[in-house]
Amino acid sequence: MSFPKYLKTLSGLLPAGAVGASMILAASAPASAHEEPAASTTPKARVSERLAAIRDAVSEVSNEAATQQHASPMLAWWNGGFFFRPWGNWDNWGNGWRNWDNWHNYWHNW
Amino acid sequence: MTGELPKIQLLVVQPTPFCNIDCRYCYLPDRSSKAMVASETLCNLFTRVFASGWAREWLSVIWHAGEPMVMPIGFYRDAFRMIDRLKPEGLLVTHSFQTNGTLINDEWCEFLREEHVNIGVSVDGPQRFHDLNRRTRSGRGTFDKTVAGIRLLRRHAVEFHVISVLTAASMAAAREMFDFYVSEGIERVCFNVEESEGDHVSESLGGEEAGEAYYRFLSEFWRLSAANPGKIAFIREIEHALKMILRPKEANFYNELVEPFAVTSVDHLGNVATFSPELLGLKNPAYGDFIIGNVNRQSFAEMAESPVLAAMKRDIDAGVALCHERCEYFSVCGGGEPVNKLAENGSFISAETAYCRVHKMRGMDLVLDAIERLSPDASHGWHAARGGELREAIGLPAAE
Repeated sequence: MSFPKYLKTLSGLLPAGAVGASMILAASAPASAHEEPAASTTPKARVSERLAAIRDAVSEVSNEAATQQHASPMLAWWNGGFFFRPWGNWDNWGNGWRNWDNWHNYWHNW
Repeated sequence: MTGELPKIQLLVVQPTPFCNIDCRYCYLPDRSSKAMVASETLCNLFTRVFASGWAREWLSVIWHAGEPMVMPIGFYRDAFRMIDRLKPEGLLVTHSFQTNGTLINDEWCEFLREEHVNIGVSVDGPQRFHDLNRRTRSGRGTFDKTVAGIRLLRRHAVEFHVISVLTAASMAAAREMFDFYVSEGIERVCFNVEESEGDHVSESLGGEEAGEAYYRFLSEFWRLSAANPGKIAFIREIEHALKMILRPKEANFYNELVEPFAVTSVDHLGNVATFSPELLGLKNPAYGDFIIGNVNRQSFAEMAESPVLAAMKRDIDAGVALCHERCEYFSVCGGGEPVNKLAENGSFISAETAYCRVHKMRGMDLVLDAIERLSPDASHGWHAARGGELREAIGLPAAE
C-alpha cells in the first residue's frame, strides 16, 4: 500500500477516534495471517516501510485536522480524543510491562 | 550513568514473595517464603525514590508480590498514608494490584474503591483452561475462588481488568474465551502468551504455528468484540498495536523495559533491580542476582553507579542495537524485552525471541493487515453509512 493510499484510508479512519477506529478495523481484520489482503493484490512492502508510511500519513492527517479543528466539531473531538499536540508533551508512546496494564494511564490521555 | 536524569515511571513493589497459590508457569522462585517487608524498608524506599527527583509528574506503584492480598489491608492503608506524607507536592501517585483474585472479600473491595486502587486479576478464561495451570499447592484448581473475587469486585463497582495467559488450547477457543468474559462482566482484557522466563520453559511458544494460532485468536476475539458493542471495551494487545502503529512521526517513542530505572523493582528486603521486573529473584553468571543496590543502604544515585547495572546496560544496549539493525518492527517495539532475550537466547546481546515473534510481531501484523484490507473508499464510506451508529456505540453526541 502506498503513502497516498494510506493517507486516504487514514483520513477516513482516524476521525472515528480510538474506539471507533478499532471497531472499523476489526471488521476488516483477516481471520488468518495467510489470507490475501483484500484491498491489494500487489506484493507487500517491508514491514518497516509500511509502518513509516503510516506514520507519515498520520502526521499529514493530524496536521490538516489541527488547522481545521475550529471548523468541525468532529475534528475538534478527534484532536482531543485520539491525538493531541504538541507531540513533545506526550511521553507515553512506549512499550510497557506485559504483566501489568496501565489502561488508566492510556485513558487519561485519550 | 551520564546524560539525562532517569525517570521512574513504574515502581514494582514485592512486599512479600509469598503467593497463596502455585501456578504451573510462575517464574518467582521464592513464592513459598512468608517473609514480609519491614515498615522501615518501605519508608526508606519511598523516601529515596522521592529524594532522587526521578519520579516526576506521576508514578505508578504496582504491588505485585507473590500475591499482594496475602498482606493485611492495614498494611496497605498505613503504606498509602506514609507515601502521601512523603511524596512531593504535585506528584501524582497511583496504586495498583495484580492479584489472583482468590482472597478478595467485601473488606478488600471497600478498601480498593476508597483508595482508587487499579486492579488487575489474573484469570486464564473458562475453568477448563484456568485450572490447568492456576492451582493451589495441593493441586486443586483456583477458578471458583478467582471468579468469586471478580463477582465481588463487580458487586462493589470496583473497576478492574484481567490478564489471561494464553496456551495453545485457549488460543484455539477464541469464541469460548469471549463468551466467558462477557458472561462474567469482564470488559477489559489483556493477553500474555505463556512464555519462557527464569526456569520456566514455555510449551506454547514453540514453532511457527504458535504465531499463526495467536494471530487467529486475536483476530477472532477482536472481531467478536466489535460485533458485540458494549461488551469488551478494551483489548490491550489491539489498543497497544493501534497506538504504536497509528502514531504521528513526531511523537516520542521509547521502550521503558530497556531504560534504566524506568521500571524499578524492589523486593521485601529492599533489594532493587531494573529493566524487566522478572529479573528480580533470578540469577545469572554474568550479572549475579541482578540486584543493583538496596534502599536501606544506598541512594538511587549510588545505585546508578552499580557495576551490575553498568554491565546490564552495556549488554542490553548492545541487544537493542541488534534489534535496530535487524528487526522490521523496531519502530513499534524499541528493542524487545531483556528477560525474554536472556531466557530464550541466553544473552541480552541478542535480538528476536519467540516471545517477539508470537506476541509482538503477530499482534502488529494483525493491525497492519486490517489497515491494508480497509480500502480507502471503504474507510470513508463506512462513516457515511454507519457514522451515526458508531457515534452512538461509542457514546458521542449525534453529528450536527
